Amino acid sequence: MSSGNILEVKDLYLYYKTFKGIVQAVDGISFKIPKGTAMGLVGESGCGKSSTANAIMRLLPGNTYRYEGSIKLDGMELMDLTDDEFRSRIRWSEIAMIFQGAMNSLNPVLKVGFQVAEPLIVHLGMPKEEALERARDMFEKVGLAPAFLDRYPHELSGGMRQRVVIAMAMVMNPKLLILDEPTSALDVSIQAQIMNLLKQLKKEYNLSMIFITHDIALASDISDYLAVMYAGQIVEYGPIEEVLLNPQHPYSQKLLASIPRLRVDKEPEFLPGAPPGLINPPKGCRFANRCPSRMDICDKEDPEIIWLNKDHFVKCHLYKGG
Amino acid sequence: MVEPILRLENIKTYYILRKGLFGKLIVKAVDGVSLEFRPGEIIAIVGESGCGKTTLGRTSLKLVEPVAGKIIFEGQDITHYKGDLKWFRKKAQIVFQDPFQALNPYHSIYDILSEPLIIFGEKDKSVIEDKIVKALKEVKMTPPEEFLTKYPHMLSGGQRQRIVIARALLLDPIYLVADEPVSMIDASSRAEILTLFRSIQKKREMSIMYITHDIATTKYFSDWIAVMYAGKIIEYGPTREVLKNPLHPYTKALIAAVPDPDPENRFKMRPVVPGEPPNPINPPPGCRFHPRCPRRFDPCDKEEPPLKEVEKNHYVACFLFK
Ligand SMILES: Nc1ncnc2c1ncn2[C@@H]1O[C@H](COP(=O)(O)OP(=O)(O)O)[C@@H](O)[C@H]1O
Ligand SMILES: Nc1ncnc2c1ncn2[C@@H]1O[C@H](COP(=O)(O)OP(=O)(O)O)[C@@H](O)[C@H]1O
Ligand code: SF4
Ligand SMILES: [Mg+2]
Ligand SMILES: [Mg+2]
Repeated sequence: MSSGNILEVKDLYLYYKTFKGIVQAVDGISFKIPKGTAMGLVGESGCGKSSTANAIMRLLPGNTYRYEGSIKLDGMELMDLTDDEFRSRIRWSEIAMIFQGAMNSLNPVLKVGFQVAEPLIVHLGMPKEEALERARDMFEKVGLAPAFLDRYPHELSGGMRQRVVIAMAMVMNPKLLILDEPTSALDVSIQAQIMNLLKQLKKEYNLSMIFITHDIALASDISDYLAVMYAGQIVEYGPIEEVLLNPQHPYSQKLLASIPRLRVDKEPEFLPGAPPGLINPPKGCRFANRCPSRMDICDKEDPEIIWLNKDHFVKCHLYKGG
Repeated sequence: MVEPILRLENIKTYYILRKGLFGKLIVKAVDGVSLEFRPGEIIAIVGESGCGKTTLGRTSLKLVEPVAGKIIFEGQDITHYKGDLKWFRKKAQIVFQDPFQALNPYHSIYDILSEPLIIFGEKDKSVIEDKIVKALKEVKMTPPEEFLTKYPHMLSGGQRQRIVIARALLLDPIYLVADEPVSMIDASSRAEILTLFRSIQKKREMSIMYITHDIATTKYFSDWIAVMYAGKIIEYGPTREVLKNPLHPYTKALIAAVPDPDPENRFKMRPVVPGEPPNPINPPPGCRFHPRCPRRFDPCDKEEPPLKEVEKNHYVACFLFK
């Protein structure tokens, strides 16, 4: 049975083993993404955003210690698939990802047109000529002239290389695109060009997206839903209107208040302290040591997820029994 | 009018790149910039990467030599001064972008902070300790004793950047170049560092060249803005005035490219200028922005528009303003 959601993630865990202890990078997170919408995944660096993306792509490092939960793509449980099935049926063809810094890790000795065509040749066994033809179409969609097909990465500017990376991710026509900090290395005016391109692709392909960034303002440029991550957990999730205009979790409130705004006259406030380490994090609420509303129970119990309405949850004791 | 601490007059700083045996290319990184830094004031230098911000900052500190123009520090022309610069090195400091690279990982915080004092001849251990404790308190690293024996990797990014700031302040500079001081720090901690920095700067009546590509922070952390494009200042004025009422088409585009957190953003394409900034080796003739400018007209590709005062204290280099 497929619902209206392209992705439903429930109680997802990804822990790593290190010589210092177990890193609880993704600690029981849940969210859903309706078809054709984008979810912004925001939070400070180290909170587990990239790990979440890797967990969904099943790109697990060798020191993975715990990987479990439910990930449903269009109603199908991905956790039931073997690694081979996942590789041949899901990764890149159904769910594609643009890695953090990908534009700087293109293969320097291959023409970018071939790099875009390559997944078609490797994964679909498409003849080279046809794959290059498809790459040419994809170039057009991302705003690159055909002449660029024969260029090498170093001959392109940062903005152009990011367009190449987007073409690479889109060429297999995935249903879900995960973008991990796709514009963080670009200047604002180029960032705006790339954001416009992403908006256009989203509309044209009814593409669903997870847009990962530490910059909420940027997330709001494309996201329909927002998930706020803190120390390995999603502490608030909901429609962007609700989360931005009426944030409920004390961390979301603080995070939003800390942003310098160009068009509103409001001094940014700050959020003193730092998030806890993910090895042996506190057993209560992970935000407790920085929280202005902290209560006794916050140090003792990990708060449950509380749904405020069918699309909006918050993980905070303040809302218990409310 | 208060005497400026530092006056830059028509500074040109070029880099020479050798090409082949006899050829050479000239990178006109800074190409005719004038600015005055008065006590207690911050001038924000904004613009996209490669426009010459860092070169301007380094030139003002005599870390690179300009090919033309003058650097007047406390009334003295030091442009080509070759004598002992120790007095200048003490009064003019720099805070770099990357607190990870700026701090030696093998040195304790005490060692890091005592180094500049020792270099500048302080031998009395108790004086050194007093100064360090005072500096740590000033950047709100308390209790200071707790940090003295720590190493950089034991601190958060924000704390590290505060150590970098404390180190720069130890010698009581009157002029400081802060080159992207918070760009490596999480968005949520930026406001805290900048607010702290601002209050110290006000108290000490220091003047700061604040180099950034993050326009939103300039609103809270500068008195004046200079917008650079391809080695030149194309707009200059009081920060709030320029942000509210940008005149140059490039400044307008730069500001329009920056999102505030707003759920309406996703329904709109962001107005962008096409293309990317020019190569400073071979900038376009006339107005350097003309190939990308939506408003260009007859003289723009032939003559270079001078920087002119078009409203009180508000300067712009564009033929639209006569
Ligand atoms: N392979 C790994 N082994 C051990 N720890 C890791 C590994 N990958 C990431 N981490 C840690 O997991 C936490 C979450 O990292 P990450 O998912 O990259 O966060 P984000 O993308 O939000 O910055 C961090 O503490 C990081 O140091
Ligand atoms: N040491 C150098 N040698 C040659 N070119 C340089 C050097 N440093 C900077 N440049 C060039 O000068 C221009 C301005 O650079 P920079 O001052 O670093 O700009 P920004 O700080 O605004 O990014 C760029 O084109 C850059 O590539
Ligand atoms: S001078 Fe001409 S080209 Fe340059 S910004 Fe003004 S209108 Fe545009
Ligand atoms: Mg990451
Ligand atoms: Mg720079």
